[in-house]
Amino acid sequence: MNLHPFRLTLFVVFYTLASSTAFAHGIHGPDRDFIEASTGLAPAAFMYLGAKHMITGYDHLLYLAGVVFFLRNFRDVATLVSLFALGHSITLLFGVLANVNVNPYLVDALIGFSVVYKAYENLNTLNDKQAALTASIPYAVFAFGLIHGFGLATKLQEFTISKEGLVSNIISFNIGVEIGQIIALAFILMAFNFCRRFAHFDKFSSITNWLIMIAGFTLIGFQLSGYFYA
Amino acid sequence: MLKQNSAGAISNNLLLSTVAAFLVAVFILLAFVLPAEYGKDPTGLGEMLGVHKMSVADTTAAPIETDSIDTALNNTTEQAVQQSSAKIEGEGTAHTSYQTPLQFMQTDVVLAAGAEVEYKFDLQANNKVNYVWFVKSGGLAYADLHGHTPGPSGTPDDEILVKYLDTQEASQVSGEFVAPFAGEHGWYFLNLELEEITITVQASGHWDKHELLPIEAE
Repeated sequence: MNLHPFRLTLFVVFYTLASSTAFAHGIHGPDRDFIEASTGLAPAAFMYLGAKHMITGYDHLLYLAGVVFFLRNFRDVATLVSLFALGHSITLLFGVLANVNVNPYLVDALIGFSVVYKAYENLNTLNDKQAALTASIPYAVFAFGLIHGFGLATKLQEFTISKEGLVSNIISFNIGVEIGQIIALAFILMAFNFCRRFAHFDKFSSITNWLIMIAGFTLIGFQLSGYFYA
Repeated sequence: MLKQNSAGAISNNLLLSTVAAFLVAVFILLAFVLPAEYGKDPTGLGEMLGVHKMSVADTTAAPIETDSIDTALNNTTEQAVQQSSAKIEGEGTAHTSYQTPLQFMQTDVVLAAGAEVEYKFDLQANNKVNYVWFVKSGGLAYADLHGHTPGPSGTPDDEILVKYLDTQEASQVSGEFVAPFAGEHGWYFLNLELEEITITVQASGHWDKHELLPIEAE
């Protein structure tokens, strides 16, 4: 029985790593054709794309998993996730509307750093329970939310989106992102709550956050080498 | 590996985990990510583990089969393909701004007498395509190489067009073009013969996708 949390951890982490090659980030294929071909209002379609991007966006998910790792009551989850959502909504809207050009590789490397930072914070919390929910954590979540928003913006900016209905389509995409985030969070929280029932939860937490940190470092390296080689 | 120790060992533990995580990530990058994603293998670890560049193989374009080229092409067009491939390969390393990898395609387009069709590449702005097409069986073909994209209104009224090359009648044409804007770029083919013809199209370039399109009534 004690092995279950470990197995689950391995499954979750390796599944995210493995699926990363399949989804390889960004929006491709038919979705891309759709965005480029669509003119005017398409709220449901853009919402779907936003939700899909979030659910298949392993970097956002790793960070979110880190954020909610030690949160046990609904209020804390709602507060931090709202701050994250507020942060990335601001820069997603601002980035696309003001046509801010940020290099996608560098933004994604920073997102990788946010994953490392969050995992580090969690490992620190594990070592020192007093560090849990210290004053700086919400600020960090908001600040990294801003960075994740630029990442979302660069994904939309890869296309030539029709100017007609642009604002409402971006807002639809953004709403979709939040819906996708809630769906993903539900699964993440269920998995963590399940693991909490086991006696070895602390050990599970150390290993999981350590693996999240490795994934974060790998993301940084992957994106930075993309910046130099691709 | 990461145990909850007494208070004294805490900061060392955290530092150690971080450094270890960093080192594991460096190993993953050197052994898997760099060789597979970018074809870079500075340490030789990728080769040792049998990890090679995968991004080219990911593309949907079929590789050119040299057998069919040998039988189907005469010497001059074969040279043209080799030259254009070599040329664009050189370009690929010099320009790092292409959003899609260099791809190759070859396809046969069969046209009944009097039939017409469009063959299009979806290109981002400033992406280049080197091409050769020739009539494999039959006589001559009419070809109009052009590109278009919807204008601000999204209707055909203010569509943006570019003409590259208009070939009234030919059995083979090779060349290259650079898309000045994102959109569909390619040929309108028309069979002027009284019998069926087969046109072989080969190209290399940085496209998002390529496809055969029936003619739409405009």
